[in-house]
Amino acid sequence: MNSLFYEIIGWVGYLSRPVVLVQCLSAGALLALFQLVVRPRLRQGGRRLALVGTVGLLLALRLNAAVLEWLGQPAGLALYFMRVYAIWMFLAFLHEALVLRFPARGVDRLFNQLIRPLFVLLLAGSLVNQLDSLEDVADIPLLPVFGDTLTTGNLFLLLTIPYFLVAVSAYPVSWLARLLQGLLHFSDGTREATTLVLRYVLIGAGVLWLMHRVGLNTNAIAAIAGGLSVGIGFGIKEVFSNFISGLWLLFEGSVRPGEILFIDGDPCEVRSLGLRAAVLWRDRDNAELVIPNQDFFTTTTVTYTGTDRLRRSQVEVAAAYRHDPAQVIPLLEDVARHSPRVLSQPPPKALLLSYGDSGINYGLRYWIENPMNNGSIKSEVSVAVWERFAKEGIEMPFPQRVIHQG
Amino acid sequence: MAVLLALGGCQGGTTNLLGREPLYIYVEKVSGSSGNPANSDSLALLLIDGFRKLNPTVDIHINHYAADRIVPAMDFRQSRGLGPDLVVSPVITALRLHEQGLTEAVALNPVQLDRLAPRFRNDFRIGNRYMAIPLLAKPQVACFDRRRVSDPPATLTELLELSAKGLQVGLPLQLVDLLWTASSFEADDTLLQLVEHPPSKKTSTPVLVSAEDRRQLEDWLTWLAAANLQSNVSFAEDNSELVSQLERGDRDWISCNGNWLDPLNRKLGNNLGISVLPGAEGRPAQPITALRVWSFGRHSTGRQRALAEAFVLFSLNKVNQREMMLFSPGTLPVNPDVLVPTKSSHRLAALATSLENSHMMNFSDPEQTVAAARAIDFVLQRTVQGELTPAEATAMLLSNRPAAALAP
Repeated sequence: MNSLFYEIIGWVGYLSRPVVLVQCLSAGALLALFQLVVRPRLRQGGRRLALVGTVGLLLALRLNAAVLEWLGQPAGLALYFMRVYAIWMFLAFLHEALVLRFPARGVDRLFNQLIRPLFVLLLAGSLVNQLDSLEDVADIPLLPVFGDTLTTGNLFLLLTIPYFLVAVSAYPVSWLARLLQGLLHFSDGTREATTLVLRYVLIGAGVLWLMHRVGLNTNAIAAIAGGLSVGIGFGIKEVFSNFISGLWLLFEGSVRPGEILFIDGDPCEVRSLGLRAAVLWRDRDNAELVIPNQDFFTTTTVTYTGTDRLRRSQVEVAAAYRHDPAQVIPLLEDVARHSPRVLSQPPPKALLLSYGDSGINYGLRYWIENPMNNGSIKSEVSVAVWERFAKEGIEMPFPQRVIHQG
Repeated sequence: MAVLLALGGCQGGTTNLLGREPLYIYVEKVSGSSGNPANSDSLALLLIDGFRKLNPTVDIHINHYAADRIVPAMDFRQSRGLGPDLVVSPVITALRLHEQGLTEAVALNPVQLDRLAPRFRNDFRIGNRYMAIPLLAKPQVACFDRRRVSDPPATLTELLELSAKGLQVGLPLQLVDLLWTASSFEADDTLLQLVEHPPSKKTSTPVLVSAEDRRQLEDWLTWLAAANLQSNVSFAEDNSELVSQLERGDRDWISCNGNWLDPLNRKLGNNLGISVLPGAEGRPAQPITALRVWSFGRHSTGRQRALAEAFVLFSLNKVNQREMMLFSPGTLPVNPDVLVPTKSSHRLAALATSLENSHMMNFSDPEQTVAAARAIDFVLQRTVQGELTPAEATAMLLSNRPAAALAP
């Protein structure tokens, strides 16, 4: 670790050179002037003026480098500062442009997860490269790990590669899964499952590669894995159980992203199946339910999307005794047939369910395409029944109680 | 801004925030050594420790670069004012750096010059300044496995006789490493002229090649072609390949330079034998001695330049030159006051003899010299592979000479 600090202190030493100091101070002064004086005034003038200000700063930074060159002085650092600022501004404009065409949430996620971290990494790497040999800095020994020496480069890989494996792998894997879906014509749920499995494979392969690249002692890793297995047995068995359950469910196909499950009487859509838990979305109140994967293993799961996505729904209604069931039943079926979101096949079916206290109870059964729309379609059909009954003069009875006084 | 720039020549204000005085050094890795140059690091640490005892506020930062990367790296950092204060490299790199304006010549006073043997001074002098200052000499010698070679060959004839009896011989296939074989046929001067004065170079006096020169050149090429026909003699394009073969026991005798003695010594230990390269009867082999030299960066502050000069002179003093000679098995000092213990060490005796007989290449135009050497290497390759007869190869080597320059 001391060697790294020694090297970093060495970089600061370059500031003792006037040719370096001039480049840093002049670029820094221009940037400070822009941020503190010019930018606040331009901000009031709208985006166009802000853009003009940004371009003006870029030109000023380039002019600064040109003046240094004209004086016969090194200007590479001044140009470097200008390029970094140019890339930063380009990313800002790219973000604005993408937001105009794509959903802001997705663009923000792309920038926060991938583009900005990448920019910071490249900036750090290029900054070190300005000052030092990247190869030499990467070879600086930090501390002993399992009998080997952990170098700066390996520590950097250990900190960054896992992040990018998790954050970045989603994009290519999702694209690959869509490609496979196009070729093999499997369902959206299978595509989601394929995406997740491919992602696990990619992350697993990446971690193995990283361990090999870093040169971690395999005997030491085996010893740690042995110790962990005891830990898993006692402390983290739930986590491990949930992870294995998640994988099992994916392969089994009963709980996949996109599936509709019945949870506590409500249809819920599976949004994601994670390492520990599944996230489900409940339409009724827009709630997200986080359910441990293990629960799906031990409890009965009701799904509407096992073999197909159709759901049979039912509206119950009563008609007064004076109306002939032979008139009411076709009427109800006709109402369902004319509801736009009710499927024509299988055909709607009305049934006489029972003779009630106040009237005859009917059930109108029909099929819908999306189980998540059940509530709203049920409402539509019920309203249509009310309107049709009113039009045809069919009375919907209400409970009547005849009291005889003795 | 002007004031800050003007401060570059002043002595003060060079410490960093912690009050340390940084000195930046770039080191060119020995060609072919892809791994960590552990020995050169140890050698550097030896010098740095000694220097910091005398200058406790100085921090020395070393960066290593491969031969093909050091010039671009220097160019990149110099353009930012972040170049090193010192560079350690072979002569060819030092010349390239100087030619591209990436290093600066320094003046040495007579007392400082006394630390350099006269033979090493002139090649680097520009007026009263020096564009590079030699640090160490690395002569070419023969390396062999003592378990298989009890008495190393003294002449090329003996070498081929021993190979006929089963000695596995490995020879390099690059002119710079193979020139010692040409010296036995007196073709070395002609070859050096071909390299140092290629036909494309505009010199005031054309180089004359006599019929005698042509015959000597053809004799040498004939010997090379004949050597390759021996079942126990093989050529390798890369010196590191020869070294690996000797380490593995695939070869018994190879020609090697000072850069490789340390890894060989670590691998073979006492079984490593070192002798002078075989010559002709009454004519010792004349190899080329490689030099490691110091060059000075252009953007050092006044204080950094003073420290850099002090460090270079420190590396040239008698004690340090002797330490380096003893510490690094393939090196010889450039300080004439250091006594080389040739009587007590066969290794140092072989190195000293080789240095005494060796050529010092003149790289007045480094790029053309390298290009000319590569062209000759290509002809050698084709000759050894049987694609060209020695006569054809000779004609090809001399073909670009101006007709008027060819003496009958």
